[in-house]
Amino acid sequence: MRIPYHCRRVPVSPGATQTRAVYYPWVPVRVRRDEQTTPRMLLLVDSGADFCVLKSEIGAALGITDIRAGEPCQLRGLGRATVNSWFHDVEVEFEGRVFPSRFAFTSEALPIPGMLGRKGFFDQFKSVSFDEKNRVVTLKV
Amino acid sequence: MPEKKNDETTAIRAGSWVAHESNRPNKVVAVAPTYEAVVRKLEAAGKTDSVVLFQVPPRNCALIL
Repeated sequence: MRIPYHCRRVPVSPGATQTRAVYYPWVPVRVRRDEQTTPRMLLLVDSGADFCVLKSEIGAALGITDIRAGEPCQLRGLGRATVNSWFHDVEVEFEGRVFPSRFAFTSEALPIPGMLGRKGFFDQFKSVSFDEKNRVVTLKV
Repeated sequence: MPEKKNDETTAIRAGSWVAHESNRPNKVVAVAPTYEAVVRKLEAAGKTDSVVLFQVPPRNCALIL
């Protein structure tokens, strides 16, 4: 499966009318839990993420009314900040395949809705590779 | 009283949820400030199966996660 990076245009500087294109390795997935499912949404394919992460507002739409009922986990990135999250079992639908996964849900303010990390997404594929020159992520089953 | 905006005039800002047609990223179907609100709009329009959602990241934000 070859998925082109998603392109969006941003101002070249704050307030500028001129824009430039930036590209993200976002892929369209649905997340399911019981009878609930999301529309297809673009999530970041992040080789630096140990786990898959989603915002709690999406969890609520999937019927997870109390995210703290799951197994707790503290997520860390650069810097000292930690993000409190809780694991819940879900299913992921991607390019016609459905597989079980486990996402960490958080109510803290993330700049993106979520990400697809190594456990729960990358481990479902034989390989995941990024072609930065051609802006394509390739996933082999 | 401020004028109520409809879907077509809702501004796309950092943090906005945007739904576009699956094979036409430039064809925006719905915009809302929250996931719940954009899904509600899509359900009302019967378009939940024909779109792709994304949330606009902050401007000038390098994603290091």
